Amino acid sequence: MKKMAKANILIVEDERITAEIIQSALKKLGYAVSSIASTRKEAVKKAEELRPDLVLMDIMLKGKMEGIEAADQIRSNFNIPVVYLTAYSDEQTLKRARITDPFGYILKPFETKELHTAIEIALHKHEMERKLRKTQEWLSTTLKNIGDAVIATDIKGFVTYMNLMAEVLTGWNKDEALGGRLNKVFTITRNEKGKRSINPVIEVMKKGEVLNLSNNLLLKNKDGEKIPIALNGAPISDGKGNIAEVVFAFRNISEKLQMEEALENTKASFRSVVEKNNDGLIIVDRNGIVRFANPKGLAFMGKNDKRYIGKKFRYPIAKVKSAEIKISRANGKPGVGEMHVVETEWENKPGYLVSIRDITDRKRLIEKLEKAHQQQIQTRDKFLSHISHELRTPLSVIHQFVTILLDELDGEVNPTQKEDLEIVLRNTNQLSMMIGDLLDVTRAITGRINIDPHLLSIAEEISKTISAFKKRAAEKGLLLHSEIQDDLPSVYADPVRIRQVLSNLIDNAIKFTPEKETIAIRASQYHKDPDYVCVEVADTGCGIDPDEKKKIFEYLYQAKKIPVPNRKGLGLGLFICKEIVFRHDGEIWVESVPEKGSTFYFTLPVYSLAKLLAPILTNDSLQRGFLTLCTIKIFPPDKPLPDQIWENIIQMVQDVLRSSLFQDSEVLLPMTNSPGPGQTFFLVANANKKETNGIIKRIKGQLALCDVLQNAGIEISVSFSKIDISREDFSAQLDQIEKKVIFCSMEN
Amino acid sequence: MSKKKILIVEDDKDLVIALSKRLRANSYDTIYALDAVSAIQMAHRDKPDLIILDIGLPRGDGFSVKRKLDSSVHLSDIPIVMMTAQDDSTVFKRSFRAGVAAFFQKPIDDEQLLSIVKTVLGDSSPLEGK
Repeated sequence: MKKMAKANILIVEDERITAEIIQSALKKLGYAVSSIASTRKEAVKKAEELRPDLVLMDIMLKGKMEGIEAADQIRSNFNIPVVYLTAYSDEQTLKRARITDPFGYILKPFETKELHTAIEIALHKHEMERKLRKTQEWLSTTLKNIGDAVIATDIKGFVTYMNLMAEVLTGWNKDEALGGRLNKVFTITRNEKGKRSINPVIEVMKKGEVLNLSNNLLLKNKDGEKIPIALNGAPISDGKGNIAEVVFAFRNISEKLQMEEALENTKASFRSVVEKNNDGLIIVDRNGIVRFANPKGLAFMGKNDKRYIGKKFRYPIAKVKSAEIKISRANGKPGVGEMHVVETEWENKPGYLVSIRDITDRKRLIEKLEKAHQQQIQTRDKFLSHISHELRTPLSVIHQFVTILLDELDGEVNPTQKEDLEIVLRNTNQLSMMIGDLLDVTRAITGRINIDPHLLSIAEEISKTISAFKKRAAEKGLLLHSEIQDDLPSVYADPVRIRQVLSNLIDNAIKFTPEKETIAIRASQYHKDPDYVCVEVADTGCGIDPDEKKKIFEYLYQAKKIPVPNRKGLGLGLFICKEIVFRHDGEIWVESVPEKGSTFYFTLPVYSLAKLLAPILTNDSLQRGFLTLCTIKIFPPDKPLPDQIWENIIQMVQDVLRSSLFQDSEVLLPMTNSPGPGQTFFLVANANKKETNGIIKRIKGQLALCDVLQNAGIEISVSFSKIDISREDFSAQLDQIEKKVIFCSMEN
Repeated sequence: MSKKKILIVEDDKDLVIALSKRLRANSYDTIYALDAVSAIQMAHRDKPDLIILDIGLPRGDGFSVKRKLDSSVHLSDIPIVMMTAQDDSTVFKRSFRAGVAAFFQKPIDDEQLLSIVKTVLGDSSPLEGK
């Protein structure tokens, strides 16, 4: 027991001496005596003023039992514990004193020990009571203010307690309810019709423990309104194992029910959206296991029941954003689905939401459209090819007869007639060029311009083209001047196409340049990118407006300013040039100062052996350390062949070699355009010795099938050597091969 | 000293006339056929020294004529110069696979044609032939 340090004690004793004895005894025991009172009035007044911890009260004051009254007042007004001092231990006195709920009695005369014990017990008891009271107060405040309604009854069902919330919910106030039967204020039924009423007291008593009732429970309040509630009932034991009371706590759950209903509605509409969705929706977890599938999702996977859940999903989905997959359609026929995958959570675990849309019809439509489009293109191509063929035939007849007349095969022609015929011939040639352009444009639009790149000297092509235009330029008094950079590297380009581009540009330049001026054709290594050669055609014509600079390369574009004595043309030339240069991986552009002149530029890739061989420089070949170089020499017959036939033969050999090539391990180096007797082809292969023999056999066999070669008396030799690629100066070696290639072709 | 005989097989009569004039002016003898069937008949009857054969023909095509000629012992040696207005590399390949002596594309370049004919016939001067 914790000793109350210096408890203050008020002594109420009408005998002065006794009071002093008590005071001195108390002081010895370590208590403080706040004061001594001798009358009832004084006692009450001092208790109020001094608020002692304890009052020692003589029952008999001035011969009357006024001590009891004083104790009663002090106790109930100030809640100060009182210990009686009495000389009387008769039943009558004690009975009266007991009513005031004293904390102890001390019989006079007393011993110090007795005094001490009585005071300590009283202080302790008071402390316990205070604590208990505090708990009770706390409990009752809690019960009063709690959100739940609380009603308590005795075991017979009479209401013993009711809190504020219970009053609110039932509509009855405490005064009406307390002491009355529970079912008067607390009528509850199980279902909405209110037919099955229940007696919760009996239910709790029957069960003997806490009872939870929350389903369909309705409380009918005083106004007859029915309120859905959740109810807890608990028996309170009397400490001896018997039920003494029953406490009910209940709450209004209509809001909760509304929320639940709303949630249920949302869920239902959401479910309906998912179930009725025309897209298949499937949830797949991280392990690829199907966790959910809507009806359409099941159908697309060819499953008709929920047994699909828990099975492995058929398609890989991790890192897939969208893909086309096979699906089952309504009639069991296969179709195409577009699958989209997004990461999601399913039952608090990461997974994937797979949505699948049936795109079979769309796909078919697109295929049909594509087919129709292709057919359209084919028809147009056929049409254009047909037209140009049909136009060419009469044109070539005109050409033939004009030349027959000009060559005077049909008799003499006078000079004036000859001039006329020259004009016819020039126009015929122009028309023939236009038809050629028309065909090229169709090819360009459909991406079918054929490029047959060679190892090409751009200088040579320029000089060839210039000489072809010499006559026309001379007629206008124009000078065609070429400036070629020394040691200009060879380019990788199609000679026929490059001549076409040069012709177009020079033709334009002649058209736009005033008489007696100079057109410069230049070629140099491109200063911005040494892997390209840049060709320029510069005129001193009327120039191009800045806003026209890009447009002039467009399809069917007509220049705004056309020199007077010229025709408009088809507007295809520069478009074809652009397409040809693009197909060579080059660029084309124009720089121009109005009234000063224009310079057209185009770039072509420098011929690079390293680039050509890159596809076969695999780990395999690097490990082997060498590539095989096959040299195929074509020797012309003793009797010289006309150029046309020789060209035919060379082209045929190239075709044969190309068509017998193994693309992934062999590269046929481009032909050089050097004329003269003989032609050498080089084939570089990623091959070992055995494979090399195979290649040589294959080449010889293929060429032996060509009767033409034998008939024309053409001989062919096939030999091979190694290119060491294990050495560090590999690129230098490539250079040497390059030189060897050029050397060989010049040697022939 | 007889002139070398060239059979021109071409369905465009005007072009045939033009070619004939050009070749005759260069001292060749020419005959012509306007379709595939008469081309075979003419070849049998007249045994030309060279045939200029267009690919697009009525009643068969240039390739079918070439096949027919190859199957005949007497005619298989006649050199063929194939010509076409079609601008297609597969035609070129097919022609060579069929074993023609030369191939050229229309419109005809007279000089080129004459040079081819001259070479295929194997004489520097056609007048000195057999």
